[in-house]
Amino acid sequence: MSGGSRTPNDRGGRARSLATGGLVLAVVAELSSAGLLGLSGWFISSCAVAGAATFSSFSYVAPSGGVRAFAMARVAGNYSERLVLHAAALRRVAAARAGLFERAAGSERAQEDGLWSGELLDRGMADADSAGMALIECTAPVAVTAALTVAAVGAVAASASIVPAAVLAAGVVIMAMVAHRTPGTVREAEQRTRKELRAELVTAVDAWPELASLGAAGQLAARTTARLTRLDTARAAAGRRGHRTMLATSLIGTATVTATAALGTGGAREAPTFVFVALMSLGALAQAERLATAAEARTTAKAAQHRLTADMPPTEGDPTTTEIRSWSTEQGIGFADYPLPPMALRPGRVLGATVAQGALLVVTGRSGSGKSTLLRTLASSLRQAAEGGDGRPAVVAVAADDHLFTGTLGSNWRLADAALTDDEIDERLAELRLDDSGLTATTPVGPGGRQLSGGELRRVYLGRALARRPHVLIVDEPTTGLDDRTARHVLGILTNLPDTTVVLALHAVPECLEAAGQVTQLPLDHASQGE
Amino acid sequence: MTTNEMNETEEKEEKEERSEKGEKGDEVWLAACAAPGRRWFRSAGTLRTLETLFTIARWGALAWTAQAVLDRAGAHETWGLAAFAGTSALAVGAGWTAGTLTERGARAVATGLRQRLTGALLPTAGRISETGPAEAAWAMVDLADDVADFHARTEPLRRSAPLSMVAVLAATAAVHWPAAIVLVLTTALLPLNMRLAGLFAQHGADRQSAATRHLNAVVLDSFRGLRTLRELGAVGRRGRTLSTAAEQLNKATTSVLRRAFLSGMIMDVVITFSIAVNATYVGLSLLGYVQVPHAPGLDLCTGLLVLLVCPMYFAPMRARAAAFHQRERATVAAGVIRGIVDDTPAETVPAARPQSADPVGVSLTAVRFRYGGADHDTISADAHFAPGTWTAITGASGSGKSTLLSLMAGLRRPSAGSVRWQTPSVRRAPALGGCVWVGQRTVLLDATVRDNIRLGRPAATERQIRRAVDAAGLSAVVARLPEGLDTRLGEGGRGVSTGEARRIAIARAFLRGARLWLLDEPTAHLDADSEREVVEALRRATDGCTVVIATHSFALAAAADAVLTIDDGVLRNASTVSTR
Repeated sequence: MSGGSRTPNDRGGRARSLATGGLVLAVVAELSSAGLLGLSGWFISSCAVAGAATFSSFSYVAPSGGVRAFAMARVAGNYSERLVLHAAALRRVAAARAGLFERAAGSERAQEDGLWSGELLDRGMADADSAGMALIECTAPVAVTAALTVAAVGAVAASASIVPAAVLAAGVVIMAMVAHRTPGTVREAEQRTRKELRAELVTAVDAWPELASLGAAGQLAARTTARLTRLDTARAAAGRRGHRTMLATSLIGTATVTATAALGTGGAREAPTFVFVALMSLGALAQAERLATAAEARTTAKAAQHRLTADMPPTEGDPTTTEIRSWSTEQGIGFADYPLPPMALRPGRVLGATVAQGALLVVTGRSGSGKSTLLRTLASSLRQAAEGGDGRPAVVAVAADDHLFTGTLGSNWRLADAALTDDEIDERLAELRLDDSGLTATTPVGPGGRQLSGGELRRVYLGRALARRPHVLIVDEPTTGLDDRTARHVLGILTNLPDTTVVLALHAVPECLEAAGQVTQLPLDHASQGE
Repeated sequence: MTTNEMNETEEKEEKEERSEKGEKGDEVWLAACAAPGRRWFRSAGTLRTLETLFTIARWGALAWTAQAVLDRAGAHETWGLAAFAGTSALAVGAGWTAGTLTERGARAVATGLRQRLTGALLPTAGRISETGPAEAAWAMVDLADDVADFHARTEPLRRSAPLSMVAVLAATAAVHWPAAIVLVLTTALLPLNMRLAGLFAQHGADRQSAATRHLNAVVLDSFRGLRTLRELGAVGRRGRTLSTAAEQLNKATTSVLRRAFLSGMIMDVVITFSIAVNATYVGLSLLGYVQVPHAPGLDLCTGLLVLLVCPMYFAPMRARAAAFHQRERATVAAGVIRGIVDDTPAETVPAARPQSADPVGVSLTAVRFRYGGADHDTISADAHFAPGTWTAITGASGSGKSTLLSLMAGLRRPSAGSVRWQTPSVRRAPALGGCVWVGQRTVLLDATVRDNIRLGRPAATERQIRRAVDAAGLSAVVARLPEGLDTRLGEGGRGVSTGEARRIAIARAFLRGARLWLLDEPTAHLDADSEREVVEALRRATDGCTVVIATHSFALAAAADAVLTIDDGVLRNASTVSTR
């Protein structure tokens, strides 16, 4: 657990050997447990037979030593099995979580729109949990049942005859089949409703203040309550199903024990053999009753595993990425063949532009005119076109709904450049005039940046992106929520970046930019083209 | 805004203090959570006791059969096996019924808790607790189950454990009293073990809970900001943060488990060795090597029965010991849930649709607001907003415009002074639902556009909805959507842009029809043309309403009857507000 330097392969190997060791220990513990009971019963019966006889050569030393040995193996096995299996399972859980994050981070396109936080929290936590814990809840009981059944069948066959052994084996197989047959749909429905409840709550808590003012807090709560009821119903169905299976397996188990014992007494059988057969089959069948739970755990884990490894679902109505031509050279950047879709107040057309290095391109247009889409397309196209090499990223884009991570301003800044000190960050905050409102590198930002106002957030996003020193910086609406003076100041910073070509989306070109040189304008609205 | 954070920190400290003092209270609170399921748990306990009785009979039948085999009494053998099968089936049936009832009870407990949580997290009145979405989801989905599972385990045992143990002890004593004495003696060892396990358990559970909460926050945050992480080239670094948090959780969990298993092992030792000792003792007495004075003689039937019921005696105690560690989880869970539920404001002002008779004025009398722990007021204001006026509030970013609006809406309470809503006839404190609020962040529900718009007025007619849509300048947006008003928006408003989301918020504000409008930068995402349209539409729709707008926009400010500015935390020019 301590090795940050350990390779993933090492970890995987260790986790596997831990799991195997745990399973072996589990088998040992349960065999000892059944052996303890079986041997004790046999021992008592033998003593009774010997005590009744006037002359007997029965020696109690060896069997009672065996009883003690089984007892000790059982205690030690139980303890170490639980510890080792849990350690292995926890590792699996952690690995599943990390894997999910890496996959989500790796799949560029799908992740842009296809994934959403509430659902992902559920995935990251619950699915990883059930996938990892399957080792304890499913693999271990199945392995133990198999081992115990083989041992019990062998012991019964050796001490009594092949018939009761066959009956016992058949009983366990039928129980396994009944348990396995339990369809997972009910359990899946429960999981789905849980997920929905979680997602709903994440949204609802965010939405409360505004909706409460609308008097719609009740509706918000009602929606949550509806999800709650659905979860309760789903759980009831799953519970009923599970209990039915348990009942069936238990009854089959009872019938099997009775049959095995009856066959074990058939013929000229001795009492010790009868007791031994009865107790061994009881032990194996009691273990087999756990198969129903194990099968359920397996279904859950399988579904979870599937979700963990399945491709991210594409969003409905997700517009396909537009292919455009773009280039990035020492002189600057440019793009062409961007098809601007037609809108109510404007016909469609094909756009293109070039910007010299260090200069500014301002895309203007009313809201909904396609500025953000253009910027996103340009960013992804330029990123593909560019070949890095000097350690600076080709493109960094700041979306209008960028994200601030829980923590301090400093920790957020250091995501962009890990080498920054608090003092350096303070300087940058001052450059953006964020120190006016008392922000420092050590200021906590609250969950999702909730402690900051909209204008502060915009500047923090911008400053953080600037710390990456990209060749091309693309910013969507950098001045939203800023008063005029601050907006001018921010735009001033953006016009004075000699190494960085800047692309902005704004509603209109402000006066301060019109005066400045090296500003290319790209209006998306026909109406505003003449202005 | 830093002050806000300090405020939160202090609150946390307060909470910690309270939790130390209220530990006993927490226990009581946890116990009280079981109330909705108690009926089911009681019946389950009774059935569990029945199960024990049937199981004792079952072992008796088996032992009796063994004796018959020893005595070569064929008829007895058959009867014995039949009795064994019958009592086994009865025991299975009783256990099954008990399980069903317990599950019923657990569901009742979890649902009860979830309903209370819903009431606290999404109250119909008063200020929401500062619980984040991740923690809320965690409490609602996971913690409620932790508490329910704990009660499901312990509540039926409360009744069945003593009864079952007495039954087993009585059966053993009836058969062979020295064996019963052995059982009673081992019982004395167990409380010691429980105390030992509990000694350092609380600390571990607290640490685990803190680690879980931390990991939850990190996971949610990481996925939410994945795009940002990629832009910043920080995916790898964030991945390491994530795995560090996961490792912390694993460590905390392992240490809790180790203690849990250790106490389980002590229990195991007691059980295992009393089986071994019993077996040896019974064996030796049957051989005639050992003879306790005045004890009844043993035969195979009685000896086997003593051996077989021995583990049953410990079963309830074992279950209780397992539940002991669930208690820790449940106590921590209950603490978190209680922290959320206790914040629920007591008063329940009905958030009815406002009476549309008179426009509402707002008067601020010596109002000051200071975040807890801050050394200066964020805002101080003394102003009167006459009914039916339009007032724009301007000020630099972060100057406190939003805070002032939230005070006027009653979302926050002033630290000093008073906020009053005034109509010609009534003067009263702000009430949630009495005014329209459009915030800086619009969150849409996972529902159709229509449902989102008529959220404030579910009974609205199609015409009213259309008017609201037109007023907010949404017509073109709706026309573009694949199914118009019936287009479903995904979780968090996926499917519309931020600007469109804002306009949907404006539309539902229109539909609400309150006489006081508090707008926090309502045109922040609109260009000059749409802004003018929206301002005109606002003018039409809010005819006779009181409107207060926090804005940077000159167009809005120019359209207002009065403009106030916040300068250095003070609202100025309040005297110049005039009636339209």
